[in-house]
Amino acid sequence: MGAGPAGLTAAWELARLGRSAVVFESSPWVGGLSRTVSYKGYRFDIGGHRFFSKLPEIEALWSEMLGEDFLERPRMSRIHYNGKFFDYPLRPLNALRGLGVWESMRVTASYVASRISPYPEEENFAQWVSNRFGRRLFEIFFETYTEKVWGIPCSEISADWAAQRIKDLDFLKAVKNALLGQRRGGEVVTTLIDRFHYPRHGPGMMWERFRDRLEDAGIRTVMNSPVVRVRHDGNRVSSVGVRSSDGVERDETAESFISSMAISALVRCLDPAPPQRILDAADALRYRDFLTVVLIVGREQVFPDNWIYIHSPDVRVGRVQNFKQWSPEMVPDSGKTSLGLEYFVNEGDDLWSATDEELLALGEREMATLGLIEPGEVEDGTVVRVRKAYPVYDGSYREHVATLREYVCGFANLQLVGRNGQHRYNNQDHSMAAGILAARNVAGEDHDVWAVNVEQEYLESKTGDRLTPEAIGRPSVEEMLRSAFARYDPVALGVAFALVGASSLFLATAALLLQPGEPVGPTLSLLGNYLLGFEASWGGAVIGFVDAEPTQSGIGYLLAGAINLLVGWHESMIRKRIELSVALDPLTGADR
Amino acid sequence: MSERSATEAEAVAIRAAVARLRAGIVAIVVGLFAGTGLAVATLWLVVRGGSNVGQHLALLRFYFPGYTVSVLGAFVGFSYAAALGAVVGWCTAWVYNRFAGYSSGR
Repeated sequence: MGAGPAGLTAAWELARLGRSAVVFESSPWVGGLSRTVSYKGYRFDIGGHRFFSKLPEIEALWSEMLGEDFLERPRMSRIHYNGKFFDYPLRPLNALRGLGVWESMRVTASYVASRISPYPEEENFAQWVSNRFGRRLFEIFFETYTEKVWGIPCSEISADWAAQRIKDLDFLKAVKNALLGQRRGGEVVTTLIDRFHYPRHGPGMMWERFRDRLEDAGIRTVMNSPVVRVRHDGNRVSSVGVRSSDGVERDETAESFISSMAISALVRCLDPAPPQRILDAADALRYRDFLTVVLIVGREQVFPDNWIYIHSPDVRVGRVQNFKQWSPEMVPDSGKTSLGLEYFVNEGDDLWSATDEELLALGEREMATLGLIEPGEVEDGTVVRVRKAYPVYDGSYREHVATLREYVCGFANLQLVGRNGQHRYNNQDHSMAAGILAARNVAGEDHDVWAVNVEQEYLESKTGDRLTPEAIGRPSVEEMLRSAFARYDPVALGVAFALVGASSLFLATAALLLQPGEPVGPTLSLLGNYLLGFEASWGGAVIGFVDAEPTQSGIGYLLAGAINLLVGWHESMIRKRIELSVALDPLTGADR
Repeated sequence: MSERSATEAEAVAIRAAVARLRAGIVAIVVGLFAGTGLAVATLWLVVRGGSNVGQHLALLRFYFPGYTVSVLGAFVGFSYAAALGAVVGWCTAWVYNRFAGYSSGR
């Protein structure tokens, strides 16, 4: 149920396992949110999907499907705020230069204040960001944009939303990639922060290719056929009612069912209907809808970025995509540029209900306000509206999802996958991984499809067939980095300094005492100014040995402490940069 | 928020990791520093000149036979100080590695 990345990948895996399947899709296109829309030869993407995955199996599948049509593209994106562009991810000097002296001082003071007196509880996004970067930086670079995206105050967005993204980050790998780039086949390539994969004709090309390959394998994808009923006996789903394009509903039976329908829509289709508390939980789930205003501008180059984040509060557009920078073949005429103005909306609100003409006029006006185009430069345009583009992580979503999950998972032959199927902020690779695991469960394996995107490496670690052998006896880069950030033991260094230092003094004194000749003892005895009772004699040597120990151990202890302080500071700075770049973009997931 | 994330666990693991000293490397570094330090100190006094050049530094001859405050002495001193520094560095690293982690139970 659903021909998005999760559903099509599940079908592909079933085909690979020699199983038969049918995919039902309510819309006329495949790919779900990851489709490509075409208007007069201008192709555009719903949200901008970078193809990047930590799961080698998914990367391999993408490459297998598209081959040479799977392009590697350079990435450039910036933040537009208060009439200025800021690098993304933020760079301290660039940001401070753009903000000016007074604002930079406010940001710094606010950061210091947040370190001295952080929020004791991090329940919402505002507290989570303020504790890490200071309140002022939150107000400038997080608050406006995040609220544009989600349509609710940051104080009502669960801190889980940011924490979930951060926890998946591999600090050591991020440092390794920053230092060395990523290695593939022994060759160092630029990190995917700077470059990304993208299908030649947009993301929809990937899913159209999946559909075609499935058809070759004997698996049909039935379009314009929404599932409107899910019949069950309380333990198992017996059939689904599919409404065909002619309006007739027919029953489809199967051994197993995999659904990427929105979980709230699925429970409403259950027949018999579920208990009221389940329906209430479904009704409580919130989604954010989305519309793209595409403007065709009669200019070869408007800006060099793939996309720009619009943080300026004086316009309603949240992000501007520059589709020809994603792939040159997204536009039919290289002398023109198609811009995708993304508005994050709720179905039924003023923007959603506005006419296409009104939205096109608004888009042109806002682009001119931002100084990105001149008035009158827009030659044509179109509007695409998308329902349920993003599941909202509000304060109560977790409880409602748990209620629904517990109920729906009670059906032994029904599995939920996909972003809306699990009401989870999955990237398309997560959705694909869940689809693969669901298909393997149908074939008799036992995987937890809900573990994907919780345990990032789940697919790889469970199947085991993509693990690459590692050389034994040679430390990996991760191990070396871990040791680079390891702390010195102050006590041990203190002991080492004390023993070696005191012994050295004893031996130096003894060496003089054993030598006949000129009296040099007076010079060494000057150390008695620092070491009480020390003199160049056998008794003095023993006293010096004892006296030197606390001094030397103190030096060793302080030295280790100072090194640890610097290492810790360096490590926390790198972590902060990583967290900042993730938290700044509420749609990081949608980018993929 | 209650479950400990992989990143948090990783951070704890990194902070818990105790750095070890590679005795050979420390020996080379301390040896080079000590040798160079004495050679530079000697040459500095030689260049400055004067009536009684380096009377105190010259006392090192009791530990380093053949050492004098002269250009040749700078090379001799370099050899001695580098060797002694290497021994001291190696011993410090060896003792540190024996004790590292004991205090924190790691």
